[in-house]
Amino acid sequence: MARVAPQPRYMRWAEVSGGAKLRTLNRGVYSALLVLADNAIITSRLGTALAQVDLDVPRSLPDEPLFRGLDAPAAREFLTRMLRAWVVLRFDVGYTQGINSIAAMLLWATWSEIGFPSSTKARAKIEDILFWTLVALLTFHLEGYFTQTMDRMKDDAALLAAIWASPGRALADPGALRHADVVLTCGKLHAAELDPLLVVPKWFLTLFTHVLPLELAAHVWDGIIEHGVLRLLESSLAIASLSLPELSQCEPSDAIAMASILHRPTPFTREAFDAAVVACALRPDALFEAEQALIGERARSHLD
Amino acid sequence: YTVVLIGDSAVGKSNLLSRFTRDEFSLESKSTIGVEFATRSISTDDGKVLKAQIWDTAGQERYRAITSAYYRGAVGALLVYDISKYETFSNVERWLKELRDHAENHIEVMLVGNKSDLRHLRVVMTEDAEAFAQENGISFIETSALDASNVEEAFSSILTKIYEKVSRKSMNSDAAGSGKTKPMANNASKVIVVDNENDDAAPAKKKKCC
Repeated sequence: MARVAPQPRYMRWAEVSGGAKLRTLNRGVYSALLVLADNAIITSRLGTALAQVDLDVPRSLPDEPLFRGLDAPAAREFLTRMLRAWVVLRFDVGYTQGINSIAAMLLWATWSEIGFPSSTKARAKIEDILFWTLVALLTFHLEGYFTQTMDRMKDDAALLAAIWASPGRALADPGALRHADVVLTCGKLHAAELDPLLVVPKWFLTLFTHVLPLELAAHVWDGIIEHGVLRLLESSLAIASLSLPELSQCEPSDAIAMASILHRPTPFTREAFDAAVVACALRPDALFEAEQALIGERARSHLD
Repeated sequence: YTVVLIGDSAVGKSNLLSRFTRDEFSLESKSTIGVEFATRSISTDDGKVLKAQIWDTAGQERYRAITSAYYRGAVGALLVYDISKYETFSNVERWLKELRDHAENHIEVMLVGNKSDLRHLRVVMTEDAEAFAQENGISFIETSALDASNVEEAFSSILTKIYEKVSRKSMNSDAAGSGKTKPMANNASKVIVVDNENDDAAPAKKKKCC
């Protein structure tokens, strides 16, 4: 009996994220966006964003062999096209640094499994798939993170800080022994009064690609793409709680030392992460309540 | 002391930091997302050890939505532009406004023209930048993170200035019996910890506020 080859990760991501569906609905649109991106009127309107893309492409995951080796020029062109098409498609959002790393990660994950596509046809197809996966991620999962004001990213950062303050209210099974490390970690971060904005942008706006080894980041992505932003918060808690031994070495009030640890957590295994993320399971309704409280707070501050 | 590095995208802020704190430089480094921290201590002429905590920030304009959180508590700012890109220099004024809006009033600011190794590509004249700095009452230096010229000088000069300012202020406030009160007692107003070796001569008595 023929064995069915496991589906490559990029295909799985495309399907689970909704990117594959977007692609079906938008046949031919990607190449049209690329044509538009070369149009003089468009480039004059979107010049700032497109110029930033050009600045950032060489600075996207530059330490990876994909972006250093023989494939690097083609890989950078690939990335440039995806980002330019994004800027034209979502001119309302535009380009924010971090999107480049997310797009580069999509390409990296593909390349690490099947290599760089050699034929033009294969390249065009993969590029189309990855582009719509990027659109799905930024639209369905991270909507509002990359706007001019980054409001939703700031809200979710505040949510995370609210969980640090009272993990018992947000964890799915408060009091369970498996939560012990999470609760301790939250306690430390809260006691140090760590401003979540010192950590969260780097985590959320690059989806951990600037924080974890890419193989591990890809594993974290599997969960986030499947479960959405709730898993993003759970993953954040998990990564922090896996750093508990290092966090415990810091002075209890040294928020900056803690932030530095969270910027570059000591490497851990996939298995350790999987166990931690289970221990960090959150009650979805708890998040809803916290979100409502946040909205209320903002409304009140507007009234004041 | 907390010093922030600010300025347009890709002017070399992160490389100035890595040159100063680790003596490293890389032509293609990741763009900074949010903020990065590094520390280094330097000695002053009178034998004090100043511990600097340097915050390197994202340069893209829209990151100002969050970077204002990084100015609070900073006592110094290196405002960096690229001598080979005029726009990064013309944006300096906007960065100064950012500082006026979000940073503490008496923050020490130094204008830094980076990439001075790119002589043949220079478009911002030293005299122009010097004049601008003078007009705005800030100091000025040109550096190259690539060949390391003036990097050490830039950081130690701003740190020394901060040290002198803090010493003076603290003596004045001791004399007058009133210090400047902080705008808010939240955790973001990190302060001014001087590692004093000669405690008897210690003018800076401030402790961490939070």
